[in-house]
Amino acid sequence: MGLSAQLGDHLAIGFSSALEPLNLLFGMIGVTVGTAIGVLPGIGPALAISMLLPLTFGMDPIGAFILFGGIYYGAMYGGSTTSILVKMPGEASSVVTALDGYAMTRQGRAGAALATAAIGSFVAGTFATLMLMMLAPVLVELALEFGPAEYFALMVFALISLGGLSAGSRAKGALATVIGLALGTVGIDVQTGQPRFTFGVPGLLGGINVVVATVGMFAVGEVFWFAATRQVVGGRPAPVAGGVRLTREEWRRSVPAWLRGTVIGFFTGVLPGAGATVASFLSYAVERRLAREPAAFGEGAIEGVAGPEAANNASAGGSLVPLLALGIPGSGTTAVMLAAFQMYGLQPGPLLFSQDSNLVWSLIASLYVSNVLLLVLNLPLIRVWVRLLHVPRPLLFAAVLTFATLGVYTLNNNIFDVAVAYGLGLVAFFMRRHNVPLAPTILAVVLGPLLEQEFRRAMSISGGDPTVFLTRPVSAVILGLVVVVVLWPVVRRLMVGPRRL
Amino acid sequence: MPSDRALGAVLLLVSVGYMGAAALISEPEGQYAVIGPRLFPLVIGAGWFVCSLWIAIEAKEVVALPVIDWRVVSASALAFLVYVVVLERVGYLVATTVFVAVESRLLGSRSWWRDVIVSIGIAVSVYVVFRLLLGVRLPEGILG
Repeated sequence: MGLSAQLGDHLAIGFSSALEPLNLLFGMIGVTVGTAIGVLPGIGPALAISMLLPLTFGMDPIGAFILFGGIYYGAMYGGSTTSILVKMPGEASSVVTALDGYAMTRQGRAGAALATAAIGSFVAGTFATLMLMMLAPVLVELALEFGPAEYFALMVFALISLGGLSAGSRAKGALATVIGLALGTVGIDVQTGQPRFTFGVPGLLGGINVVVATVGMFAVGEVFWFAATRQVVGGRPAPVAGGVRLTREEWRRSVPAWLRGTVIGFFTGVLPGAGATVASFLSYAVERRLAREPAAFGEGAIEGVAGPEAANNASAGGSLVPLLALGIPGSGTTAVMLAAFQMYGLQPGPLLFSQDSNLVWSLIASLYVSNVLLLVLNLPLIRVWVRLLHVPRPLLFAAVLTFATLGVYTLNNNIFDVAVAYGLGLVAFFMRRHNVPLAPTILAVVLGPLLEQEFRRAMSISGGDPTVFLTRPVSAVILGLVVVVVLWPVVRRLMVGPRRL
Repeated sequence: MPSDRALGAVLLLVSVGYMGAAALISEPEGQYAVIGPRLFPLVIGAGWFVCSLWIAIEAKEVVALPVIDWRVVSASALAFLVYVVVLERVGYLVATTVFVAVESRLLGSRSWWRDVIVSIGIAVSVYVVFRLLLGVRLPEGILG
């Protein structure tokens, strides 16, 4: 059977499951929740998925992943609305959209900005899912040859990239990674049964549950942060004059920007570390460079909205490629999704494609469905979404806290987990205060234990010979890339020559 | 003193403590495993140590840290602690209602009646959906 015929079969099965009434409902809930958290600043997809994670434990995994996929795509879309209307980005990935989006609003062209963001998100989401569908099986074929050494190298690459590419100081990105790795070492060592860092506390023997860690650091940490700063984000949204639609001229300018944004976003998403925010900024830079009038950027150029909004949606699809095909996430949100797979006892990667292909293809099919739902549900509802900003923040965060606590508690019916989550929330608060990024910590909490296992497995196979990581070609190449990422600032200085500090 | 230098110093101490605890992990004798349970924590501890130094050295100028309302942070932490301690004794409904109302207040809400109504609404709807509809076990406490 040819590859394309096989793909067709898989998709047919995937769609038949994604379109089942219950799963369709989950998709609808997912995109609605996702758009809502996208609109609300301070609450992102990683937080939302981690908060819902324990609550979906009893559900069928297919339904749960359709829900999470919808949230992820929805959040990427929802961030743009408030960027455009109130210059208040709901997500970091929509910061750049505010430049031209808000300028368009002031000129009375809010409808066109919202339309190009929405349609661009739809186009990008759909093409990115298509590329995900083509690329993931190819990567799976490659990954079949991978042993512990290759997985170890890949995880090091993911951790180094996210830690090193985080905004701000590289030292702090590295620290964030190390903190996560250290948290991951707590508990009984699976290979020898030796307790580590448990200090005689029985509740720590099982280690720090990944779900508890993500909920604690993202949700509880965010509540602490709000408590400490009470950043009142105000601004009354401008009424959307006219319809949410594009003129012929706006179509002509948007389409190429959408397509470029899609390609940029997808490949930025596939790479670990970069993610949606980098994708949106890259796309903005490209659009400005290619524009006939670069001076119009910042003054309401529609390409400045169309490109970045397509790019951040496409990056969501791209970031699912390494997660599904290799089991190696490259961002905070996909790390939480890996935690979800682990919660269900599933291991993403080649095995998932062969053993649970139903789940994989249902998820992929549901992403197409979610995209359609987003377009259909959201354009007419933009006024409703904007009203969300009027919900009093204290009550909103109190509700986040309630759901976070509920989820952590019901995980094992153990109050100790709640205490750990609250404690980690405080840790996250101090990290945030000192500009230490959180996503590398979460990724390290999830990957750390796997990293150690693969390392020790590789060393066992080689009989204790550490050169195994360099004599296997794929592992050597990946570790070579790690060196390049680590030395990147030095390399760049050598290439460009010394620059002013 | 640049705040990052103080941060680096504190982290340096933590990393030394972590490495000390890592050194105490006993390596099981006579096992076939080539790498024991101690190596990774030691490497991580060393990495932490290096990062702390790096942060302390990198700190050049005094950076303005965000203004923190420490009273609210400590009051919230206290409220969290009390909630954790009393949740299983008092029960989900009562403890959560009080906790949400208090926490909303701490987070800056200034309308008691609205907070109370919302907190009752949140606690009751969670209880109804999760305990009664989905059968999730929640602490019953004094109402049980």
